[in-house]
Amino acid sequence: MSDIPLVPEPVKPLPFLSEKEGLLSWVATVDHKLLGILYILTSVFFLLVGGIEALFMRIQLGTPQNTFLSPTAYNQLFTMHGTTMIFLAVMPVLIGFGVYFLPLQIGARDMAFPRLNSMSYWLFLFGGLLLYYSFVSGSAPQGGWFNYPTLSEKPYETGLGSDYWALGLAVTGIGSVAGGINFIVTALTLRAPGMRLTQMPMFSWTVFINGFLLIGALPFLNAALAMLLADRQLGAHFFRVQGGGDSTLYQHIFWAFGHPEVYIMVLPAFGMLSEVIPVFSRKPLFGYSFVAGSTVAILFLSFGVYAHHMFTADLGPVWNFFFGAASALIAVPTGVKIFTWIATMWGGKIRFTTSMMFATSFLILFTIGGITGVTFAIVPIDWQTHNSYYVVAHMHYVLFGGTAMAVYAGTYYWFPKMTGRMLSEKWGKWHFWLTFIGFNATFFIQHILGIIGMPRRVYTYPDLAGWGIMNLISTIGAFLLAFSVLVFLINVVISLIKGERASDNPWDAWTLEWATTSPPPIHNFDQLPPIKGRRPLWDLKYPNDQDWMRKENDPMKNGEKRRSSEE
Amino acid sequence: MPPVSGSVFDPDSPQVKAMSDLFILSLVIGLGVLMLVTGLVIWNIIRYRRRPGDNTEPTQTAGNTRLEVMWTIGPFALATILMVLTLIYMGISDPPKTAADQQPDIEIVGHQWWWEYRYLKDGNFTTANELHVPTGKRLYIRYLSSDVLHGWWVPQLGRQMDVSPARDNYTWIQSDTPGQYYGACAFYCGGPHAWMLIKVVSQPQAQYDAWAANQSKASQGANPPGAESAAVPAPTAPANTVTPSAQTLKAGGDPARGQKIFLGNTCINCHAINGTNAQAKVGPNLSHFGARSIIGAGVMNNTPENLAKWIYNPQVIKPGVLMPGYQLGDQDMSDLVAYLEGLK
Repeated sequence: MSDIPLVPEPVKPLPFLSEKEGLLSWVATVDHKLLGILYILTSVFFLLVGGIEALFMRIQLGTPQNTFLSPTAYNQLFTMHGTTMIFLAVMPVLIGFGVYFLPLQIGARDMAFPRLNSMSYWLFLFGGLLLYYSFVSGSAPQGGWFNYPTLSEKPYETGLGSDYWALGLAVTGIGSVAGGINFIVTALTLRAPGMRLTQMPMFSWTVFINGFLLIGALPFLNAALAMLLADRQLGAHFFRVQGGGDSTLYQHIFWAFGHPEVYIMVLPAFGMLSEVIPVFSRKPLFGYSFVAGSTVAILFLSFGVYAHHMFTADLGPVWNFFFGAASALIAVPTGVKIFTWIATMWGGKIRFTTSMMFATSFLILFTIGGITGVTFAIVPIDWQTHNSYYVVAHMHYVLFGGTAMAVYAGTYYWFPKMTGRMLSEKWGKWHFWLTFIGFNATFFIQHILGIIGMPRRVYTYPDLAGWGIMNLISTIGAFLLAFSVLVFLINVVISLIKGERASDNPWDAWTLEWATTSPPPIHNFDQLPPIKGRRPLWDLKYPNDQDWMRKENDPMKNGEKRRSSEE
Repeated sequence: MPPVSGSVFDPDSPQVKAMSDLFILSLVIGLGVLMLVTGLVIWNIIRYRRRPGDNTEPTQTAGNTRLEVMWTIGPFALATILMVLTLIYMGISDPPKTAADQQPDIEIVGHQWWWEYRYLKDGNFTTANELHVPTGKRLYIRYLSSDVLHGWWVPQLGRQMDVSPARDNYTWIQSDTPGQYYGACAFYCGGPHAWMLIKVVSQPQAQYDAWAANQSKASQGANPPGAESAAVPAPTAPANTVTPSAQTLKAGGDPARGQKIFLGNTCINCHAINGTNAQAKVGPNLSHFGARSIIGAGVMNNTPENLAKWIYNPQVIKPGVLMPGYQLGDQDMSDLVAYLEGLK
């Protein structure tokens, strides 16, 4: 990166734990930047925990009829792996980036409710710790991340695992709802003068929409958790069939949360991609209004598709077809986004930094996950592949090949802003290729395992033709993937200590977070540039070719091509 | 179990054929989409990579309404086509009942962690884990669960169906070729969910009828000759020192004595053997156990040695299984195994 100017050492990037009141300044902070970093660090910690759980599972599955883990241990591990990755790694890392960058991108000083923001973080952390305390108490949950009754009810689960699970998730869930409210109010009220709602950077837009998803979806979960707890501890009969309850009801309530949850874990990742791809392609996002609109479409559709998780529950052809068709419709806004990003790259001058490499790989991997996703909307196919390893492959393509790749792209993109130092590109390239190869080696073959009849959530499997070797390949891939995470962590540590100093705007990006220092001061901005369009820093750099000057003042309304001032 | 698992793409019934055809068609369409996206991305990577030394900005194109409308309508049209196909194929892969009050041919009951099969029409009998079906006949199935949610899934014969304690579910299964088919409990049901496998034996009608006729009666081995006069067995030497793997079976075990051991132990608290006093319905019905090929819902093949290991300590073979171990002496074990394997 020879074109990046040398920058002096930052005066004081972040409070160190070693200094006087260093710890206190982290614990007591209401600053969105420190809280964002806390969110991200905590989710990295839980990512490692969940990843180690996954490695134990893959060791057990490496050979047929392996006895490395007992069924109980395996069941606890896959339950905690799913719960951890969803609630304690993916969700909070996206919320963390949102908390850090939403105020910066809209030119605000902080979130709308800084103390609520702090409370959300601490609820998340302690909810996670409460969940993990179940291991210490002797009975970790083992009902799966969905924890269906009647398996999660007495007498089928007699320990306290289900109770820790319900309480821990309720605590983090309340924090998430508060976070959702905070995002919405911040985006609505704290935008810099001149910035219209439709001029927010796309990441901020997705975080804003994500706020509605959070406050719409999480209450379903919390309701289900409260009823489950009442069943278990107060002898209620919401889901206890033996007492006249209906365990199918839990499935409806859980998935009314569970499917919007998928988009909670994907929308901000879409937003990150919509920042990274334009900047490294040197073009504005192609069709902002279609991307923004398709995000809103996903918000509404996501609440009408949940029963595709229940196609094997025999709800009848009308239910099945309605939810199948609604699920297939999700392919429309998602397809719009994929083509949008491809069109953004088209005709650009693409700089393949590590960030852009992760973003590019997302396009392919997420498309694979999307295609297998559509096959679940086609009800008869779901009747064959439901609860099989085909589903495991699909959702890892969405959540790892999709979200994690986007978060890595976002991390390489924003790390300089957050720390004042660049992540090493050399280590980054290694990180990318190891992740890409390890990920595909682990999960692609699981499609085939599902198709030949391997169900999910099994602690071992019979020695049938092909099963052993395919599972072994997947296990080897998992270790490669784990190694890639190690490379990433080494990169972070090395770069923090002696990484190249980042200028205020090392990528020559266009949104407001790059208009302040790296890292930003406590008050974020000394002064804001004038905001007349979606790319204030482009307008600042090219005063004769500002976005708003182009035809009809609205670049979306036409395909008019304009030469930039330098060409 | 059959040595090879059945693939979704290797259908043995018209229902699965429909699902398989639709799946292949969807994957072909999906592959087309993937190749389009990948092709465009690769083209972008090659064609629009920034050349070294080029620090100019490209043309700032912020959108093109016609294109955007196109790639909104495109996926929508594709989704519509797929949904029309879905509607057509749903009826083939899960045919409706022919009459509202239709009675099922077979009732499948899920238990932690084994399958109970109740034949309601061809005689009235109950068996476990190994399902026999007549080749070429479409069978109407009712699914029930005695405890938690299970899932019945034999990929080659029919759709996957939840086996729920809260509601009765129904579907059709069919096998068009004689042979053995593999399946498994699809829905996580706790503990050793992995060992809740399904074996389906498809037989020509005549063979099936003979099998069903035999199943409807008590096994001839249920009351072996000499059972009346066999002495109440004195326990043989305690087997504390005998490990399950070293369990040695004596040749020529005495089934008559074995029956006494079975009826004299807590076996009868859970298991039933028709024609005897053992009539409990907690565990699998063992009436024709000797004719089955698997033990413990697929965890082992049914051989005398395996059966002895299983009875001795099932917890090491299928951890979490609800059956306790019986540390019988060599003679008692040999007699008991001889009795159970004689239940043809």
